[in-house]
Amino acid sequence: MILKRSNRPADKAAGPAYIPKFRFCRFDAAVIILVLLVAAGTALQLYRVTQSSMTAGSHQEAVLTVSGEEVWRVNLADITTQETHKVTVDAGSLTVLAKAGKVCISASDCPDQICVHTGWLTSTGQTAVCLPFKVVLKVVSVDGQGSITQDTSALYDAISK
Amino acid sequence: MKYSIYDLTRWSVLTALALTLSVTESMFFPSMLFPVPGMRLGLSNIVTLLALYLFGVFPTLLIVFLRCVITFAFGGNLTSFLFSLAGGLLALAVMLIARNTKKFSLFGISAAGSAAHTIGQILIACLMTGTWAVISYLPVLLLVSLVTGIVIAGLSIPVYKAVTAIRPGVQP
Repeated sequence: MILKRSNRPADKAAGPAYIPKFRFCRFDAAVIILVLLVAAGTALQLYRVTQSSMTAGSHQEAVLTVSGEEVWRVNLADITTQETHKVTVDAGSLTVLAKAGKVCISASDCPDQICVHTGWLTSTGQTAVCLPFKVVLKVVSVDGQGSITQDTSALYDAISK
Repeated sequence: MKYSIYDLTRWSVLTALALTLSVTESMFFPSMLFPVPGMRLGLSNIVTLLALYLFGVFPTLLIVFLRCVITFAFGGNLTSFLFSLAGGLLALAVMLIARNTKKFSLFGISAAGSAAHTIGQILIACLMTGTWAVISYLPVLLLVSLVTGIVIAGLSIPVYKAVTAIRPGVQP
């Protein structure tokens, strides 16, 4: 059986209120430029934050956080051979491998394995994120007094100002 | 407003299309293929885009929500469910505003929705991990979302024509 067109009250109206346009127009170009500007602005801010952290006498440390709380930290300049750290969360466990000047998530039980595929982190501001386990591994710069000079959380301060 | 069986059927067909596209995409382009997490083509956004024009706000909301829930029910994890829901809803809101101005073509609306999808995902990721470090993925993901947004708009044009060609009472 085929439904009659007159069965639909909506069809009695003059037509759809919104008809899509198929031709690219200048407003579309404005959208694209706007998104490009946002991307470029964020990238520039990230770059500046990372650069300003490279002060003299500072060294790099790897920081591991679970649900925003720091659970492990290692000085990447101090490692002679290699160092591993295993964290266990409710859903499974994850292993961090640190060598001189670089760190990575070497193994994880998580389904997507994105954190493992991220590979080695070498420079300040780089992160490896494991969302299923809510784990973030990041590289920060620390000055001689042991306080974090800069990391990407400074970006938030920059944006909120 | 009262909806007819015809309307319900059309929504269901588009929901099925969204699910099919989403499954197909995860089969052909698994997320491991990409260096940055969260990067994907987002083929099911074709449906969101078209439903906004064909049916209006409420049915589109329903389709987006059902797609997320059903993908979650059949072998998704909670993370990707929250991701697609947050991204999908924010993208829907932005595309709705863009549609109502009647200024943009499908390309602009799709690109804006795609970028909003990315931003929604990054926000959820920030909330879940408790750090702002995830923002470092934003520039790359935004650039990718522009490209995918335009590709999605191009793909949705033939789909729109095919869907609107089917009329009740007229056999194709």
